[in-house]
Amino acid sequence: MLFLLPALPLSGFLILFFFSGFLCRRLIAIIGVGSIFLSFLATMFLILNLGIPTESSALKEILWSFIPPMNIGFHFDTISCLMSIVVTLISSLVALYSVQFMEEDADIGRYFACIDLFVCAMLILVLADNLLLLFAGWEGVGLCSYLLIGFWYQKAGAREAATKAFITTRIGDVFLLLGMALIFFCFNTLEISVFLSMAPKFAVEHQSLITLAAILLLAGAVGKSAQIPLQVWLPDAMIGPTPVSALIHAATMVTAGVYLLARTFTLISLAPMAQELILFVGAFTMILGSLSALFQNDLKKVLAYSTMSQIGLMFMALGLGSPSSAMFHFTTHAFFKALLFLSAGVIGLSLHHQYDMRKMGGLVRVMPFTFIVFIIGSGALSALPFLTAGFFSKELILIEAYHNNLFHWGIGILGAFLTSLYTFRMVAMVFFGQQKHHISFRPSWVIKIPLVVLAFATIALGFFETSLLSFLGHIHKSSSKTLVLSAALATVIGMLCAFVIHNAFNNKFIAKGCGFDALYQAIIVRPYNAIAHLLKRDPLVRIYRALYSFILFMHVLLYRSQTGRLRHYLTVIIASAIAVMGLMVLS
Amino acid sequence: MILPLLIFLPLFGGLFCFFIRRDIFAWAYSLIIVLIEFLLLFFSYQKGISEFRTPWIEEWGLYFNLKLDGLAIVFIALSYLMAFIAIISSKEQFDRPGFYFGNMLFLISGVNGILLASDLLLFFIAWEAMILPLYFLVLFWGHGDKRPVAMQFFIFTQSSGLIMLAAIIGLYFLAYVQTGIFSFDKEILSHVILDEKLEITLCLGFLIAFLVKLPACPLHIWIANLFCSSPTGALLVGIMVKTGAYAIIRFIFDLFPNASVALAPIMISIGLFSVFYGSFLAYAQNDIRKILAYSTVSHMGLVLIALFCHHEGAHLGAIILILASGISTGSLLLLFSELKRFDINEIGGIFAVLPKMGAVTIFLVMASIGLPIFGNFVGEWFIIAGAFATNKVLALFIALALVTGAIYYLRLLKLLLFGKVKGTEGINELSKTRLFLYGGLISALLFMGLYPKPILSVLYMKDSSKEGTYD
Repeated sequence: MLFLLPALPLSGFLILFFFSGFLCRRLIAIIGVGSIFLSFLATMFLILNLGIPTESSALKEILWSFIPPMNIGFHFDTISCLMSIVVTLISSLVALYSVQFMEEDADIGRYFACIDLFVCAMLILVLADNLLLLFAGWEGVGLCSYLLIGFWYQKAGAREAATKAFITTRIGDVFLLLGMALIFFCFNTLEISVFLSMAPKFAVEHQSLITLAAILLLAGAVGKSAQIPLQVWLPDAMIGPTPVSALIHAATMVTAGVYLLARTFTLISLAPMAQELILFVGAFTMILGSLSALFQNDLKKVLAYSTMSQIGLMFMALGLGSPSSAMFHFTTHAFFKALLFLSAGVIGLSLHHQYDMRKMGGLVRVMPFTFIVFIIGSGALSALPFLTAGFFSKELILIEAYHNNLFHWGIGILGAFLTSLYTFRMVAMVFFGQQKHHISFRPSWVIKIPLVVLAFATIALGFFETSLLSFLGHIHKSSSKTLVLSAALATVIGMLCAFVIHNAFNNKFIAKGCGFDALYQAIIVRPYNAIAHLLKRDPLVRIYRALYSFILFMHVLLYRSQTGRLRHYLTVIIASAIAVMGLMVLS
Repeated sequence: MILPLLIFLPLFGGLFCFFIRRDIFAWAYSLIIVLIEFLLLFFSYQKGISEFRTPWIEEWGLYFNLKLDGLAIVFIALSYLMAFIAIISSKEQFDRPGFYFGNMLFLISGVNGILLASDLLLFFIAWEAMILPLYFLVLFWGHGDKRPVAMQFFIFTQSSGLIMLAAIIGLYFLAYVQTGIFSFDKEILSHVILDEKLEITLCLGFLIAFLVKLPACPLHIWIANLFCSSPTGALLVGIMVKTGAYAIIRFIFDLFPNASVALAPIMISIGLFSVFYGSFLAYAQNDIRKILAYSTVSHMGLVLIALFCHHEGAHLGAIILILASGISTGSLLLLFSELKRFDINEIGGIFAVLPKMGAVTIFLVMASIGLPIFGNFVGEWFIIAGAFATNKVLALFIALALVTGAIYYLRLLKLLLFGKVKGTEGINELSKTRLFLYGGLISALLFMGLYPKPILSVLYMKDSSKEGTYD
């Protein structure tokens, strides 16, 4: 039964891959969306029948034997259950939305095939019971993001962005692969539950190996989750279709890293040094991401950087030792970020794929529906107090930070302030002020339904906080009114500031992601190209050329000595005879 | 009795093929022979490990000894698969078809000789005999400036083969001095006691010949030119390349156990150098076929590293990688031979014009990059896990090779598939037959990647010392 979850989107992919040339557009859309939605229904069916699986009642299903004793199998526990609901629900909503968004695209079959494969890979990643299968999903996600980011490959920069995304995440993947090799070396198995149960005992004697393993896993997660130092691909990836960005940011791809760390958290919690590192990476990315978001003029790029910073917040939660709050924030983030991207897509459709916020404004009057859903999403992103789910999930992490260290809490508050600042700067620039365009686009129900569902979920999730957290096994830490109020205050101040000074943020350096791109160009890309250019003609050929010339030279020498004149030969013979005799006499 | 048939059927079949005039007959004839060979291989596989011994020139201690075990079966199956594809895809061979297909059959015979021989002189004869048909294939049916290319290839392989011959004869006489019998038998020669320096010298003599075929830097020069000039049939180049790795597994480790350990650091360095040198060169090339050639250098460097890690898992990974990259690179070579232009500045944007060809390319390139679910990844994973157990820094370098590999392959995709549409005139979209062919090859890669157990059971068949499997 469990295999159906990835198998349904996979079959959708296979049908579309082989037969999309023979199907009409409507049927393609139905298969593309339907296969994902069926997978969502299957997940719900599974949960209704079995209840939410816990650590002890986790569902296991072995498909086939890979290389004995390694099996290809799935594992369905609390985290993977939560992930599969979120992934399938959001993906089916995004797919439904795409039906109108991609209406004018000729290649809709390829689009839905890739989306289906994307979801399939993500579900394999989520459900895998061993790291090797997880890695298969992991790389599958990378491949699909490559294909989808470069979907409009004729567009300037799309190919480069796709390649960049693939290679940057590949660097992370390679470290994950090394981490797997290390785990296999230590435990002689890759089955996640098995090595996690062996880890505490192992850590007593081999602390350094466990730390190394945790750091390698982190390095893998950093690539996919677009954290520093491998975050550079994410802003460029915005060149793909907007629903794809929604998918990448909310349900698949970037959340994979958070999932990996939450999944192997038992191992990571044994390595305090690695945990510190996760905390540092998360905090640094959060601040850098929200600063960069503040200086963007492209609507989608604001959202891209905000994802970076929100994932950074989740990493912080993991670093603080609370995977449950990270997963909770992941859930709320998935909904509101999908909501934001999809409503940004509506704005883009209305303005003929124009995403520059400086050219927007005053849209509140002409697009009231979009405004409402967008403001719900923005409220959740900036954690507007007491109303939104985002507030509850962020608050949890801040409490964790407070109990860890006051400094970390301060960074969290700063992040909250910046988040609210850039969010409402965005809202102010897009929806208020002077209207600059005439809008004729009217979203149809296929666009409205996903937006409404997502907006509803974004609000409703806040009310399910306690039950969700108890499923995740969250241990509540004491909180006080001052704590909550100060976080709320940071948000509100940020919001108010945004409306006053939203035009004040112009800085090329920060807007370009604080120079990471230029740095990597200088220290990696350019030297790499230079070496390749240097070696282009294969310098080793010269060895053989030299050998050839030497042989040719000897040949000419001997050839020249063959003069055919008797006196030359005689001279040589006599001279050498004398030389030989002379040598004999002398020695 | 099946084993000699594996060698002699294509040999005499190839001779007979010379006299066939009509292209379609020659084509069908050679196809049938390959299929019969497949069946023969299958029969002998069911019998388990088999041996064939008969004296040849007894005074010199020369025996016609053949041995078929799991490793040989897997390699022979791969060579048949490649030969099958090469023959199928050269149906439109109008120029001297009899001679063309005859040469292909000769090549199969030679490769089988290499893979089956357990007598060193027989092995050497097969090793040299295999070069000739390939030389002719390039010389008569090659593209471009083929004469010097064929010559270069011939000189490289022939001269390195000569060094190996010297080493074989040296070993032969040492065996005579120690045991009093003349023999080229591998079993006997592997029991010769050698002092360290002598063992290393002899081992190097063998290794040079094998490294040329592998090919490892700096002995790789011939392969780029050969890939550019070879006709479709020289898909078999891929097979020939694999014999180098096979010979290392078969002969070096058994004959020179101490020297192979002593030489391991050097060989691993050569492997590492090949991996990265190949990657950089592949990244810098504009000729599509040269990219493939240097990617082969890079992959084989990885294989060389894995072999000299002296770790059972890494060996297994090397074998799987050889098989998988043989199929993936071979298929790419075949696929790109349908393009009319090979300079990446002159051709591009295939995906928009020829989507089927584009999709096949994406699959094959992703397999070559080492995406899981394809066979290549299984090999690479075992190599990394094995290398990690021996040396952690080495594993890091191998892992980095996966990044550099992705870089040059993605450059190829970016320019050839997704670039501006140009130079695609006159290229036909893949026909149904071709699609089935590539579909079959991709399925083979998927099968190896998703369910490698059968291959392992073949590799480890009826060998009590290695009963069970590696985990």
